[in-house]
Amino acid sequence: MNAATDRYMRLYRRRKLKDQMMTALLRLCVVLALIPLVSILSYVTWRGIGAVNLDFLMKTPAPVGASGGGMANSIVGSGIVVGLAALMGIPVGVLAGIYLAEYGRNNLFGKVVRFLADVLQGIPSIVVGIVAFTLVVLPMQTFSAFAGAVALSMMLVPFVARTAEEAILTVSDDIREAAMALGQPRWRVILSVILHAARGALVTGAMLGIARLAGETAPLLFTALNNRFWHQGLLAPISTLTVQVYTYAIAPFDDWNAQAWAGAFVLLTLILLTNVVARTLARSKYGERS
Amino acid sequence: MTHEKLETAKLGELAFRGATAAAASSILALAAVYAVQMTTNSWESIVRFGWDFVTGTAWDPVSDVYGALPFIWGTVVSSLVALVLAVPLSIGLAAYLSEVAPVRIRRIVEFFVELLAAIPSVVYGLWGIFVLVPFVREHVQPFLQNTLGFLPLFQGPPFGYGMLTAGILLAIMILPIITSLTREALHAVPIAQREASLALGSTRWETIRHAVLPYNKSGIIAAIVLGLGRALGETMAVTMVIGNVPLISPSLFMPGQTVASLLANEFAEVSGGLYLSALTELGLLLFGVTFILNVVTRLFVPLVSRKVGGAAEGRRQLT
Amino acid sequence: MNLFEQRRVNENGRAGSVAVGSRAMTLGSAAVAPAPAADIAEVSSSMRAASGASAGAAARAQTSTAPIIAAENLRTYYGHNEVLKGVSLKLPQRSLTALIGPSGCGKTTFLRTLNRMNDHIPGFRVEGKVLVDGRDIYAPDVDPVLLRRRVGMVFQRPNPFPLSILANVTWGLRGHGLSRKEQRERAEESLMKAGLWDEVKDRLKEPALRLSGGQQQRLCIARALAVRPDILLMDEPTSALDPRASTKIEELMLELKKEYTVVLVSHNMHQARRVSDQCAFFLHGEVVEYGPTEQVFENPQDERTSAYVSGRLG
Ligand SMILES: Nc1ncnc2c1ncn2[C@@H]1O[C@H](COP(=O)(O)OP(=O)(O)OP(=O)(O)O)[C@@H](O)[C@H]1O
Ligand SMILES: [Mg+2]
Repeated sequence: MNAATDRYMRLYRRRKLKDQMMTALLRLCVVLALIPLVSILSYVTWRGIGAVNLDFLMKTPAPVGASGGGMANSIVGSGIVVGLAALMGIPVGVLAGIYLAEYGRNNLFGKVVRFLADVLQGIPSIVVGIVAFTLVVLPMQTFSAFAGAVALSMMLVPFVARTAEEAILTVSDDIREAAMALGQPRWRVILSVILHAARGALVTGAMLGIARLAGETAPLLFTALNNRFWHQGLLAPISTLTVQVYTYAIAPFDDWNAQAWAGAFVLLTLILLTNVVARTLARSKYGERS
Repeated sequence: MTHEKLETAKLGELAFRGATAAAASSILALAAVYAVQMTTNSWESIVRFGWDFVTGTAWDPVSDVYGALPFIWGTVVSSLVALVLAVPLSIGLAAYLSEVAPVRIRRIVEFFVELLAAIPSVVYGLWGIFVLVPFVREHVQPFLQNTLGFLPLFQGPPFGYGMLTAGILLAIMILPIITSLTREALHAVPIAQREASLALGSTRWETIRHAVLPYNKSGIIAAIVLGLGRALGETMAVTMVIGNVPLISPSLFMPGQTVASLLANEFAEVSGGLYLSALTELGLLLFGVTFILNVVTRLFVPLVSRKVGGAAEGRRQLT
Repeated sequence: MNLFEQRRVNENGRAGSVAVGSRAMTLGSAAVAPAPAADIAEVSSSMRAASGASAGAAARAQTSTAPIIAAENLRTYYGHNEVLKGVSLKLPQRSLTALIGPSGCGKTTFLRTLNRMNDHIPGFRVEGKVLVDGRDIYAPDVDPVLLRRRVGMVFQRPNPFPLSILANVTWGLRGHGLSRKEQRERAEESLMKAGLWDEVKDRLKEPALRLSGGQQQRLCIARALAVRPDILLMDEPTSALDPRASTKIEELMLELKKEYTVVLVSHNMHQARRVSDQCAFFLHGEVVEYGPTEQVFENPQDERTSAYVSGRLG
């Protein structure tokens, strides 16, 4: 065997070994990435389920020092704040998405809005909280459910706008043209035909948006604040599940910590369920995009 | 009659289009509101302290002296730790998903990565306090001390709470976004590049390393920068594990404080005046940096931005 | 010993080393190459078959038209879709075989089974045999990397790497253990063979993507030649090029087939006729007719072939 071949084969043995090692390393990345996921899910389930009980789901927090109590007010509060944010944010977001997909595909305004929508999604949520604080809490001189909802809806609008745009763009132009050829004005076509065709993807996007809001804490810390009692109107501070979990997690009492796990369990269940449902919906209805 | 009908139709179109354009403008307005509100509300502090605000080390609401350096330090260091850990892992994971994994496994792993992205940061924080902090204190820190203890990075008592733990937690949290953006970047590499490499007798790893990853370097860098943006602004999880002590220490074992965690701790207590202004300026700093990072990467790197929103979904297999 | 050794010895004096190199690439088996035992043990995952010696010897005894590639009742599937339905073909060495046939009949698929390029497509499956130098390349002990090192490929669209011209040509030499100087020489040699040297010798450091389409395609040919394959697969290499660039590549093919076994997929009847020695007509995943090019075009045995070559069947 001559030198060149010899060298090639010798090197090839090394190359092959390296190939196998690196492939193994790539697989190891998967394992490493999944360890925290598994750990988080199992801890939250294990410590959470144990602490969830009827009191937890039905009662407000017990006074400091007393044991028992629950997070019922926080669960309801989260529902109120997120619901209000969705009410304010989703229509605006969807309309903006319609603009981007239908009227602003290529014009400068559309491009700028699309760009900013993406950029705004990268702004830390604590910053959103500060802006909402200066916009709502300062002038009204009170922390409030409303302020929290404003903060969340500020995060929701860009997200929904972009998902709605994507959803509408999946509707093929053929449908658009076919409907317009029937002599319908464009806005009618959009409202009746296109939104109808895109409704599944729109719902999916909205659900994902809501699931994200439900998990937000930072923008609520100094807008909605917290409250030990049942909600007292939209203009009063309100308790939310995330802020309550935070408060109880850093508290030095074991039973509060336990309740924090229970709250995390409830929160995570709701969010993951919403996510899974939204994504299966998207997959089953629209198939794999290839 | 027909004429009238036409007019109403036109009017309807105009009204609808106007409504959508107004909604779109609200996004523009939102960006403006961020900038204006943050700037005006921190103006007092900006004028009062100038650059001293970012170089000063004393943060004292009682005597109204505000220097943010320890928080900037904490933010930068914890984010860098996160990047050091998350970048190789995410790129490896993305390369695995796009170049190695069979379709079925790919779907499953992608689903799990999406789950990781969906977990709220307060839950990360809770897990951080009760699982990660003890683990770092009892295993990671002693191990590092024994092996790399000669480095100033790994000296000091193992508290558990501190920069290192915050960095690890952040790494886990930014892993999904870097992974999915890197996936997008690899997705943009033409199959012809892979085939060219394989046809020349390259191994799969050589193809990944020399043909696929270098082809879209800018896309991968963008993924990393956007991950950094997330890490800089992450609040709750970091607040819960970093220890919240404004220290500038070379040791990653020591507690620290980030801009975001300071805001989370102190903003609700603020009554107004210079204190509020200084805190808002911290927010402005965070806003400015993340805004610029996002603008620059998105301006110079054509990204499929869909995944940034977390609305990831199955895509074509490439290998 | 095998055919290539002979061929190269015939062609140039330096061939001794090259030839053995290429032999080891394909066969590398104990029976053929008296390699150190350790070598074989390690590499044998790719090449353990024992048939090498006798096959090689037998082949050597024959003329240069002895098959270097043989498909035996080859069936391929994409999922449930059977694309090749029992193809048997023997392609002689050091000649150019053209594969013609209407779109979708499986020419590309056939070509890509010859260097196992389809391995990466999910759901792809092969039945039957493909023998290269008498060795079944789909046998479990064959390493596709070593196979591809021997069976080069040129694609329909030029696909240079976004690197310099030089870096493109030397790209496949990673792992050949060549010094910088040797690589440079190899690049020059390949670029000359690909007829590109004169056009690029002063701009080797320039980005390859700055070349014209035709030049890019010749660069891809040079890149494939640089690793010194024995077989060159070309899938419609001129279909993305203008007529003048195509002519250049056709001329190149005539040169290449003196030294390499070339398999060409072409949609261009004139091209196939001009450059090929034998021609296979594919239809719906089957080989309808295979024979010397002249016969296939002048005197086809099958009605469908004559319909196709005369342009009556698309
Ligand atoms: N990756 C793939 N997955 C599934 N089916 C495929 C794939 N590639 C090719 N096919 C199918 O295999 C059949 C043959 O395709 P092939 O590309 O081999 O044809 P061809 O003869 O090269 O055609 P053309 O002249 O158009 O290049 C076609 O029906 C095609 O749809
Ligand atoms: Mg083809």
